[in-house]
Amino acid sequence: MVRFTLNGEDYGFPGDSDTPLLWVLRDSAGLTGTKYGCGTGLCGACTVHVDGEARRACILPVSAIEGRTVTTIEGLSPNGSHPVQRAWQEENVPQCGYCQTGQIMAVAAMLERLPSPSDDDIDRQHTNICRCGAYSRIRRAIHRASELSRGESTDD
Amino acid sequence: MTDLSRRDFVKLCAATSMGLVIGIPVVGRATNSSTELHPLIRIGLDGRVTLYAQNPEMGQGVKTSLPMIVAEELDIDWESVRVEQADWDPRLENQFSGGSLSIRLNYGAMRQAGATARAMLLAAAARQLDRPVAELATQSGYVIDESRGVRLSYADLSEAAAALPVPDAPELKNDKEFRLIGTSVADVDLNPMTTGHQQFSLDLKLPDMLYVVVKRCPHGDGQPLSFDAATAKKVPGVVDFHVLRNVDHGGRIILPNCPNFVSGVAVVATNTWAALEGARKLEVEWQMPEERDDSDELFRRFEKALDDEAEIVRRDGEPEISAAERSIDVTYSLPFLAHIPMEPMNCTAHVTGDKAEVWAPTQNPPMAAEAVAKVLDIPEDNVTIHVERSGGAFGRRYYADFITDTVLLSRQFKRPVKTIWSREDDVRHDYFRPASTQRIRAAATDGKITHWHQKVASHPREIYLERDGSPAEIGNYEFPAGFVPNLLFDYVPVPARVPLGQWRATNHSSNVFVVSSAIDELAHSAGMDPVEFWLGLVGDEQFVQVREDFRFDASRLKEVISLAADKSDWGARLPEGSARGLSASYNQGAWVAEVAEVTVKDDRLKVDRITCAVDCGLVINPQGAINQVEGGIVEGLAAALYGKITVKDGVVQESNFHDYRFCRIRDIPTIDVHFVSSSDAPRGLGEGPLPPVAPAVTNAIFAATGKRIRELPIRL
Repeated sequence: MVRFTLNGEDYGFPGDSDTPLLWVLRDSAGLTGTKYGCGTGLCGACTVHVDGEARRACILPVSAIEGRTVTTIEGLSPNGSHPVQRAWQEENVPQCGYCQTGQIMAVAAMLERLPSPSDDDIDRQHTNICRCGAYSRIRRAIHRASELSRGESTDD
Repeated sequence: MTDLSRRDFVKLCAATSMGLVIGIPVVGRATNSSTELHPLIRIGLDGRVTLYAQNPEMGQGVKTSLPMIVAEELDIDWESVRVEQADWDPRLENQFSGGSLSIRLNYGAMRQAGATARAMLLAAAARQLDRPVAELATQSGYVIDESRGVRLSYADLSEAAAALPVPDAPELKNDKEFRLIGTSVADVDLNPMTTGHQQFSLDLKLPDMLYVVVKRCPHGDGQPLSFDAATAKKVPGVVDFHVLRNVDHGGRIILPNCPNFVSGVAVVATNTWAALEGARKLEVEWQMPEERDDSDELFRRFEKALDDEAEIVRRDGEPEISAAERSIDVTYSLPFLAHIPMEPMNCTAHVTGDKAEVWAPTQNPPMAAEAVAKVLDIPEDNVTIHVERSGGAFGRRYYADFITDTVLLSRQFKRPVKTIWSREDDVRHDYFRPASTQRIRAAATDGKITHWHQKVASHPREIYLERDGSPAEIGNYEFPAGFVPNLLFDYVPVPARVPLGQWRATNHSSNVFVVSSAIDELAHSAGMDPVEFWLGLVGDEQFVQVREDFRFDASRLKEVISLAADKSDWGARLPEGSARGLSASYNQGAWVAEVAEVTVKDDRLKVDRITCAVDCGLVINPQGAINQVEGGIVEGLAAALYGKITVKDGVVQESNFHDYRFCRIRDIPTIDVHFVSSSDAPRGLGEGPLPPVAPAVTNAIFAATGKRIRELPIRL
């Protein structure tokens, strides 16, 4: 049994400890907001926070997170009110929507490290793939989320 | 094309606890009588209004925009509406997403639906109030009798309205009265998509469900001969195996244009990871087909075929010219491209006896239903298709191959089954955009193109799919047909076995690259500015009769070219190493011109800006429309920079995002989108902005460096 904290609650996974965290979340914990996109850590659709850092859950065996703290999109905020989620909603970012939870988790962690990223910072540090190509809005939403996080402006 | 706006609407059923239900009568399907209906509007007695989104949603926004059109005519506040995705229903027409046709084909029908319901609600109110309909108005879900200060809610009227006759031709709003159409509305699933609660097909979990990954035959036409499960069996959670051979299940093609490449060995498990690992560890001996393609060799055959006799697609005037008369004689090459939707292919099904219930991220519910019925040999009436929001599709989900294997497996194991494709399977077992090699021999005099001979060699998808009709990857209506007096389009089919399908913008993704590149080459050979050359080519006539049944509005092409040039500051000086390139097209319902601004430094390309001008007729939901244009541009850019599928010994070599790359945010230029304001009926939008991207970029590279790129993806 691998035990860890999942969205603030104790969680135990009884299966094969080589199982990537992604499939533990999706198949066992029923948290399907974390997505499968490539299985090799390339696309970022499966991004979650482990002890506050963005990690790609598809290549992270659950054994590696024993005793650690995992936050998924479902645990990021109670009702979609995290600044990154609000920015994503204000900017109408999604097209198909499939990659957006991973995008949001990656950006939320980036803004913790780097509260006011420049465009160059974003180019270097944000590597999630959006196959629909909603990148212009993702960039705008990152800047907007940065503003919202810092409380600079909360209106449109 | 059928004029849907004149279609009659009839009533589905009398008042029930569901309230008023309005739908579309059936036209043209033999399996249904013409009086049956499908519900589009449901006004609950509890006051709740549910609008059904008719066409599959894959990120193009029709789950929002189609119901917007209904709500507009129904005269109800958008905020009070709940939108649900319609299941497949044979009584619906055009219930597919493809060809940028969802809005274009259904705009009239959606308006009629809303207007019919509104007329019936008005008639019910007139009876109840004993007032003539002309004295009544509607607003925000109420019928209003202003003279008496009375308001009746749609909910209170719906039961009485449902018992009234359905009007033949309800009055439609004047476009100027639109309050909702033309305003930016958020995607109906915005909240769940940003909180992780949006359900995609891959997220489904049914009680007692089995998880399956099919170890797929490396070649679609191969078959499994035998397998060794010794290692795979040891994976905890793997419970069974099952051999699938398409020859046992209706063959490789089960319907026209519907491949059935199910051959492989199914690894059955109690969870996804076990199924994936089991498939990875399973050893299978395959019987591969005799004929196995090699894409490099195929390109050599294409090039050689350009000297072969060709099928004439269109011939105007005297197009043949001697080598001395040609301004350009150039050859372009385009690779196979994959779809790689973000959500890999998957499907969930439960077959019980002679009934099948399917949950699928399909673009084409009618084909899905027909394929399921065929492969299971059950009546179509026994098939239910729940249409799931797709995590991207781009044409890949038009077919039903990812559905037929799932229903076969559910029947075999008598349990609900979810099949999951790994990303590697998704890339290798795609239906690719056809590769082609195309030659242009053309002449221009005094800035006018006098001769144009475009010869296309490709391996035709129709042969692969055993379909009738012309296999040509160039249509007889394509630009510049109608604009050049001496013109020849011809085609040499080069048979091969690589599976081909519908990629976003279909063959325009290739042909617009060739055409826009060659026009740019001609402009430069004439020493003219490309914008000036393009405008001269398009000319001053508003309409050009390109084909008997296709009158092309050239003024709209001219307008987007001028707008893109203007908004991109065409002609303004740029720093050393930077330059602009233009391309333009009409495809899939949209007139589009794009100007790319690039910088080439130390043999490295950076695309700085793309300015796009679009005329797609009336825009229903501007914010969604801009998202579509930006998405099409990014996809076009990814193809220009990275897209290439290679095949060796019949097997696709690429497998995931490392070797079949897509743009990341660092690749993305500033994208400026400008719509031409139009009150013309809506056309298509999802595809048109894609094809002009690559030639705009390569034309800019030429302007910056003098280097002409004639092969994609771009290699400097």
